[in-house]
Amino acid sequence: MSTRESHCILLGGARLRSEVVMDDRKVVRAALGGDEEAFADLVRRYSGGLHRAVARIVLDDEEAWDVVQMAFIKAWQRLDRYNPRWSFSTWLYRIGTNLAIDLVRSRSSRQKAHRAGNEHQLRLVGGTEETTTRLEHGEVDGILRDLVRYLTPQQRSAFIMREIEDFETAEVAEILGCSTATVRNHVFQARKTLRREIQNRFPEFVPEDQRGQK
Amino acid sequence: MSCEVYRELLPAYLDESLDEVRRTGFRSHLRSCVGCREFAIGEEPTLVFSLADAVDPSPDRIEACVTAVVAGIHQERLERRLRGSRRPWLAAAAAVVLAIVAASMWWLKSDDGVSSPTLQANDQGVEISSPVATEEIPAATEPPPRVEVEMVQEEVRVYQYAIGDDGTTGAVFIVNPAMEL
Repeated sequence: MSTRESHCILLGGARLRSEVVMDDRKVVRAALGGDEEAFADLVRRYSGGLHRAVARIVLDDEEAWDVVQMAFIKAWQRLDRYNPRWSFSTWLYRIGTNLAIDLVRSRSSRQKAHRAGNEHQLRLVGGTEETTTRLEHGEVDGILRDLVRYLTPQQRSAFIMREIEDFETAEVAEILGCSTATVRNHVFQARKTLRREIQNRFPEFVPEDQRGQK
Repeated sequence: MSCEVYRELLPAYLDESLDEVRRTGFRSHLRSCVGCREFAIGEEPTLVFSLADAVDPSPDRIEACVTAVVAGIHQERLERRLRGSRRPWLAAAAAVVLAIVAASMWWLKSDDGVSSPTLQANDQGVEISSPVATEEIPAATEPPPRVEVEMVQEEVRVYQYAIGDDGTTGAVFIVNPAMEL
């Protein structure tokens, strides 16, 4: 089961979610006592989902693994500062997202992302009618990677956490270290930019009467 | 809930006014119902991303990540231990104490009217001793020896100069901070 599926189930079932959070806290306590195997269990549990989110921010799978590893090592170093008010995954995503945002800001990412985007260009043919029934999930991911480079690191992170990874607004606010209103604004701005780019580059997703409008 | 009800939720979903439970239900329905998805994407093209991949990496890749993280933790622990054993401030303090002790001894010897031998470097860089006659330097007017402490990278060097203005080095202590004290 993917992390997102499990996340959905968690959101739908408060009891199951609280059980997972409690279990995480138990494991964190064991790790705080120096139990490396307990911490390794947390890595197994969350590295996949964190990698998926980070890869969508940094637009590079291998760099995303580096960020994930660094995030876990930082989490281990700062384990005594973990606030159990939030779930371990929220805290971990905060560390990972900050590292990813720093990477996007620091590297010569514009050129790199541009190259990656060009390699990823997808042209989908056909009208609006039933277009998505023919879409493979991987193709949607390709379009997302192609367009997400038009967003600022903060917008990118907020949109991916909220719209793709299904985190609650309050959790995204905790991850990004901002208010829920700011998260909503980031998502709104991201949607606006993505809509414009879809209209320009993938008009088949836009109703015929709206094509060409900006 | 029927498709009709879900379609009515779309505006609330887009302006973020749906509560989290209904929002999750809406997204789940969007992923499973082609008709509603087509309708929603027609209204808001960015909803096509509700189909974005959610596949986790292979178990091998995750195990490789676990191994890398555990190795990183071990390395970090080792670095912290090494950092802990190096105490440059302790080495500097020891150097200063040595310098003070040496200066005091020098001063006491001068008071007794016995001059200390001075060390001079010859051409080969080897220090040689040259005793000075007691009667040549009056003890009462003799200035205290000059001491300088120098930090060179991780070394602490303490120079104690001989009496007089010729700059002859009387003694040199070199303290290595990596050394266990």
